[in-house]
Amino acid sequence: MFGLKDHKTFFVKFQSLLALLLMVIVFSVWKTEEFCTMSNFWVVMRQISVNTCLSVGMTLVILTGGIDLSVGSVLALSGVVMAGLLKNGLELPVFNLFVGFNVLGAVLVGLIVGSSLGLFNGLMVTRFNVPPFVATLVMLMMARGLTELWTGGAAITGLGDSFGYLGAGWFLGVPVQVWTCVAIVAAAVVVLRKTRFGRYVYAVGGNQRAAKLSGLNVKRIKLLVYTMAGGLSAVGGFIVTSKLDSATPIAGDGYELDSIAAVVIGGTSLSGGKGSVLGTVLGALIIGVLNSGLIILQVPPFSQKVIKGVVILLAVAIEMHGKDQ
Amino acid sequence: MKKVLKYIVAVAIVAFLLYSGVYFEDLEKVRQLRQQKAFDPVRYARHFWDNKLIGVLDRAVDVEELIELFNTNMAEAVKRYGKAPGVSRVYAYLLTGEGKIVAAGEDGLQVSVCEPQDNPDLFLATGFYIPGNAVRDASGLVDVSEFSDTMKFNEISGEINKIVVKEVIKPFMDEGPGVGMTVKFYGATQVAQDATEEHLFGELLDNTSDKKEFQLVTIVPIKLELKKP
Repeated sequence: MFGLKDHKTFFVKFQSLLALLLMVIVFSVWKTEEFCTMSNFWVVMRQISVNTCLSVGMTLVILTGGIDLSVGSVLALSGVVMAGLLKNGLELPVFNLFVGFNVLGAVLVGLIVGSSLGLFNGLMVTRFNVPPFVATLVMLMMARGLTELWTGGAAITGLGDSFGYLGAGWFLGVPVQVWTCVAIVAAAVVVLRKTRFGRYVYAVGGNQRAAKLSGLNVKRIKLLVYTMAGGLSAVGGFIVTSKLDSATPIAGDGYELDSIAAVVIGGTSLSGGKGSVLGTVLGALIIGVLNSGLIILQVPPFSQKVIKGVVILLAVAIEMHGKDQ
Repeated sequence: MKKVLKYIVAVAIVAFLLYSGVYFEDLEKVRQLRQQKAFDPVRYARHFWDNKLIGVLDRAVDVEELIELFNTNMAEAVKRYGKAPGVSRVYAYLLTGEGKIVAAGEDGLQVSVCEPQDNPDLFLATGFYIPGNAVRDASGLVDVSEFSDTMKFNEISGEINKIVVKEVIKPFMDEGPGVGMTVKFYGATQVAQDATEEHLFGELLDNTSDKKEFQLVTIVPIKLELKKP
């Protein structure tokens, strides 16, 4: 028999999926013509692709018991670096040399910048024992400041068609940015489920002391996780810049909250050790569908924030309730 | 040893990709080239005004037709005549017409273009400072992707507006326009897509309503001609 306890277990296990299904059904019934269209489906998928990239990185960090508040700023800095190098190149007066960048070069440097900032976060957390909240909050401010410095406060536009294709183009009937996102999610799932590193991530978050006593190099694992989160933020920066054909210093502002929300709604425990990338993808989908539905229902932007806040609060409350049970 | 080898291979791949992604040139030569191509908003605006804008004035829509479209079918107005440099809810229009000055102020003239010519339908900006991007955007000639950043794109508008003040508004004001005179104009305006949700423009449709709250289309002049009675 499927008893009450089984019902509860089922509900706790599939809460995100149930919430997503419920929202889709509600919006579909309410606004069938606007919501149930292929174009709206692709709008939602494109909108969540950036948040998903950031959230996958955030999931890794949160699984180890940390947090990364700098993902939005790292996204912005990586994006403007890519755009700046692609558009203006780099001058090296000491060598009387001008270094020009094609798309590959600019994207690669952007990814290196993002990963380096993540590495810096990791170093602060592991070598100098700065709490993750503080270390990444400082990075949030520093990276945003560097972005302003790099751009002088103005947007960098006109980056060319080949760069734009990667963010706004379509391949086999699917937006390129969605392919990118799918590849990242698939890689993250494989890493977390099928590799030793993945198991170590869960072990560190589940019980750091036990992991250390078992001989795991906890600092190294955390360092890698923060570096990956930085790199994935840079991928987000690449998608945003490419999609808009423009890198703005305010890009990614507040994205850290959306990405934390996706992780939490997806069922990852904020204290670490429990959660999954697929849950996070569901969380990102829930936020995307909610955003889309609220826009279609013409809910004012300020009210949208309140509603999103309530949804996150509910998700955390359900998680805590599940733990108590 | 295996680990070291792995790192060396990884670094070599990144280095190779980076090398494929960059090219090197002589800095002096690049700087010289850039100087030749350097952006000069004054020169750009001058060229735009003297050589390009004149060619699109014949596309200007009649102001009466446009106001009527604003009030009856904004989507059609946007589709047929609206221009925007990117994704925007504000569209710019090139327009032309003739009307009677019904009031004059420091910043501009209130002009009536529709019968009966007692109430104003539009505001002709004739102050000595013109903000906004109406002329640049309405022309549809300046493409944002030509510029490396949005500041340069905006500088163009600043310089065009300076030309408007110096070469259109000042000579016109020297002629002493006043109430009762007729003014013939070419100009540009920017109107939000949802502007008529609150109040209609002029009083074409709603002059029977008790609630006489209308707005005026603000026009930045490109050509002005005064007809004294």
